[in-house]
Amino acid sequence: MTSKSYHIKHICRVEGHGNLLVEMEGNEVNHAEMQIIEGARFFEGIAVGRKYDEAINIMSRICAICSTSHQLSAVGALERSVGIEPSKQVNDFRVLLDHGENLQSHILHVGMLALPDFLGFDGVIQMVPKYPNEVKMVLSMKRTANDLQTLIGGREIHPVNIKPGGFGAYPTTNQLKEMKEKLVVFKQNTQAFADLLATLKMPEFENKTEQVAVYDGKSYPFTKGDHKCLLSGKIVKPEDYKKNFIKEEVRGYSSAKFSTINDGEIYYVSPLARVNINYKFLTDDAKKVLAQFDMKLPNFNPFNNNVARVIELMHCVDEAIEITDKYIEKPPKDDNKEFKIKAGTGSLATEAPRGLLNHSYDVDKNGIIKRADVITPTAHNLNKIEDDAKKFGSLIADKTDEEAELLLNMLVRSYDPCISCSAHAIRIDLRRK
Amino acid sequence: MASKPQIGIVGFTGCAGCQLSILDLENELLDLLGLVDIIDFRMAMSGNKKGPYDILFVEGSIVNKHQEEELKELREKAKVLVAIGSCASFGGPQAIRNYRDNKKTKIAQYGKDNIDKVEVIKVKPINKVVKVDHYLLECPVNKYEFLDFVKYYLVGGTPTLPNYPVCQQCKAKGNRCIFLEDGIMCMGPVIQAGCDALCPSYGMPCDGCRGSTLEAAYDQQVQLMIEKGASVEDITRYILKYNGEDKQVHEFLMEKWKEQDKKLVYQED
Repeated sequence: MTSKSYHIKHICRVEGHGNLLVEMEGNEVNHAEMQIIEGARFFEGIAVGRKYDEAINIMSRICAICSTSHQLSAVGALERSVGIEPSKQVNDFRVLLDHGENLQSHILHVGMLALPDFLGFDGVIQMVPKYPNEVKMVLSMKRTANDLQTLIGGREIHPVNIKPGGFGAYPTTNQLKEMKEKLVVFKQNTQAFADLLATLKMPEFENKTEQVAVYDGKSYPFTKGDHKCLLSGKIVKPEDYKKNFIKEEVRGYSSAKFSTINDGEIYYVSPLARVNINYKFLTDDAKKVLAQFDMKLPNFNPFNNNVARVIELMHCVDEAIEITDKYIEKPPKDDNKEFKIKAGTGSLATEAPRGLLNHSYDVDKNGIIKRADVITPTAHNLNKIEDDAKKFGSLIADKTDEEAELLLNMLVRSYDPCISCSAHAIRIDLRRK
Repeated sequence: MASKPQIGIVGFTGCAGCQLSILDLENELLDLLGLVDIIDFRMAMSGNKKGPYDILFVEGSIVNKHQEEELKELREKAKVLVAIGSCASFGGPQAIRNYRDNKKTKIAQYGKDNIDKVEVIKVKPINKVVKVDHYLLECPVNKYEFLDFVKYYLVGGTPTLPNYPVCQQCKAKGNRCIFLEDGIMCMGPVIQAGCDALCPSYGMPCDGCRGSTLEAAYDQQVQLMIEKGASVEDITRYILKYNGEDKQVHEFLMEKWKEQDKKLVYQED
């Protein structure tokens, strides 16, 4: 058998530090390891002993790109633990804030981190001389998404405006009107961006595993819902996420935990899983974007996550415009829910930009956190990334080293991995024997 | 023509929010790239060069021996080294665990059967490992403070940070004082200004993410919090959030507050 070895240190254009080890014998990958080398920060341990409302800001620091998702998950889970349901208005503004994050994260990923691969550049910075207009468009879209997060959350990253029961402050009608105008331009740019992406070819690869996304049977949900499995159709309540469903294990080579469902089954969470499970509930214009691509549903090619992200850009901007319009008509009033602290448990399943996110807390009668548990999208996906690396690695065994390394980098990037999140990786280490 | 300054932006253990904040300078990024060469920014690009750097911006705290060695090597290659954000400057939220029994923290995270699989040392801000020339604050770093630093560097100077508390900017904005009037525990009196009193402007208390202001009056802050109904444990938690390794915070907690909060411990290496 031919023997060969690769060693790629640190995948770039991802958030955080990690390696992928791929060992090949002939044309087969016989071993793959997703090594999360991010320094462990012990967030669940830090949360224990803190007061319930402090978890919002502290858990947010698990990851900047998903900071809004972490805050919304923490506040929602903690509200459940004391038994309050926020008002419709509060939920609407949380969705609006969350869409700011979805738009920001997706345009950052597709426009600045993934696009350079397809156009043959080291990064977006290197794209500037040849594609100045495209880079400017991406930057202006990113600016608008950040403006939306800043308007509702107070800051682009780690919002300051979320509290149990509601918000600290709301935007004025004039601010909402200004935002609406920017969102309309964002929507036009999304179409232009979709047209550009439709000219690019995603690598061919399929790995048919179970997929999981949040589901409520009536919308395309991000901020709450049940878990739904694509292939089995199984539905699991957020509080039952560890009851015969998700199981975590610690491995010596990684500071993140590895998960399986239903006793050992590999699963996948992602924008693609959301599109597969909830496509019926996409807005009409988002469905039109879906139709622009040659993508059969349900889809099992992780590279099509880039397509799913562009579909979601359209869906999220549509919903953001709808909510903004609603509160231009009827300005928000102060309707934060008052509540008394009591002992309880609260769990929430949400969708961060990169996929399913679980937060769960036990709080005592004084509001002190006694147990905290978080499973991030990248942690959900670690087993799937290893499984993909084995199967995809074998498919591309005839490529040159340089091509194979680039394709494996792109495979991991397609997950838009958030490695800080998962450790609460990525160096590719490809060894051919 | 002299070549453009060579800039590196690297991250150790943190949330990557400071690096992301730099990417959030959408309106200024293209102009910035006309003035400096970004040679190392792994989160944003491939093909990175490991120095030499005219300015190296470092995000994140140091949590293992390997990172200590890497940071020392980077320091050798950098003319100016700048800490960005709370983790690099003061340890960040993960430094809360320096004041706890490490074993208990590990068990809460990974379970008691797994604690030998994970290496844990004290969380260090970067100045515990190398010399730091300048600090840019906030969690995540204030991107305009970053931009100002680059601008000053280009014309041959360094910006000064405001050496007064958040309250001063909060008052200037005409915000209602939620600490004195509503009894909401706010860290504004002891925390360094520069954020334009962001949180209090949303009716939320200052969370303390910019570190202690010059000669911060923690004694008076604690007195005021007690008057407003805070317990001993509450006060420890309010002070110990982002800034566990801020010198003033550490000294206050371990030299004075420990007499009140007997449970306070500090992990030595």
